Amino acid sequence: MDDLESSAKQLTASQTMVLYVLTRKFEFASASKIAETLGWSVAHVRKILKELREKKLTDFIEASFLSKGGKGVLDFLGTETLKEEKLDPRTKLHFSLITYEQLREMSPHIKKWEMLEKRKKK
Amino acid sequence: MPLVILDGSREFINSIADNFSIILEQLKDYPKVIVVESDVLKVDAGIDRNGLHIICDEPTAKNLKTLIEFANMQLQTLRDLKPSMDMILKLHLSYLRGIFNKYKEEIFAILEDYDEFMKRFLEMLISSAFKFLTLEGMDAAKIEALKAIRGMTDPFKVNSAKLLHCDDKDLCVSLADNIWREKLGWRIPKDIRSLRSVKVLRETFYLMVEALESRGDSRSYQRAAWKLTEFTLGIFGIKIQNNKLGYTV
Repeated sequence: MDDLESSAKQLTASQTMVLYVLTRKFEFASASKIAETLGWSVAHVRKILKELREKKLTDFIEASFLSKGGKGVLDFLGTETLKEEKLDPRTKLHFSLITYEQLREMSPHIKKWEMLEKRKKK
Repeated sequence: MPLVILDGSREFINSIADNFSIILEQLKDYPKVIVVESDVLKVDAGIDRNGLHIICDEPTAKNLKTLIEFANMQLQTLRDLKPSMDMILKLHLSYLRGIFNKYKEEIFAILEDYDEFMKRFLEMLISSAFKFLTLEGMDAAKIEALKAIRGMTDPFKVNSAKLLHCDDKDLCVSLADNIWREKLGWRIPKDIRSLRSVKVLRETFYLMVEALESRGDSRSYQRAAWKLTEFTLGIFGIKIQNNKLGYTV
């Protein structure tokens, strides 16, 4: 975890939110899907995704990869939502390289949101 | 009520029918249950995309009860460790994409076969890792009950000489399906165990188990994912060393 912890120290709230979407909402998502979910502009999401990739916390595959050598693996990763979508082969599908549990340990923002959610429910 | 499919000889079906009530009682949570008399294996119990899958040459009530209990425990292991397994697979995908994009021409020729192999191989390897880790959490009495079922530590109906003549890919799939039994004391026959591909298969499997057990250690995930990538491409004659493509055969 050392490498993750050091990069976590610099995780911004925006980066945390994108990682939240990629660990809790979708296994794979395009920048526009993430933007739609968070109510952000696609350009802003792309910028955050670039930052996260540089930190090696996310990666992407092109949709065309679905019909190539990655399909055998994707079958095990719950990609039903992708099958329903009509994707351009060039679409980049982003995915997290950390689990939600790791994100929780790394980012104080998540714990704050969870506490807020709990208070709202009460 | 689950959909129950029985497949085997008349004698086998009759044995199951005699013990049907005890099976049904424990199967409420499964949409589909398949109990078969296999040509290849003597005994096995696991969960897959179709539900519960049991292979049993001697389907007595006691044996079926033990096997169903083992499968139920696998379900819990899967719930606990699926996020970690998904992470290893995503890392593998990430490494794979990097290699594919960089060495398109070299890799292109094997893509279709590789994809087909991975579907079969991963299903076996993942299921085996979950079985192995389920056994780690079981008490001694339950493990002894499993070991007492004929064929549990001597799984193949074919002899090892026949396995040796298998294609490397088929051999790896068969062994990946059964490697979890090493936890019960089974040993891959010596002549097969000494093959290089089998040695690397074992290394890959145990790195995966170690990563799953680590529950969140990124370096363990990365090690397991890299080994998986290196090993599976290696089976297709593509050697990667230090994250670089060495040579192709």
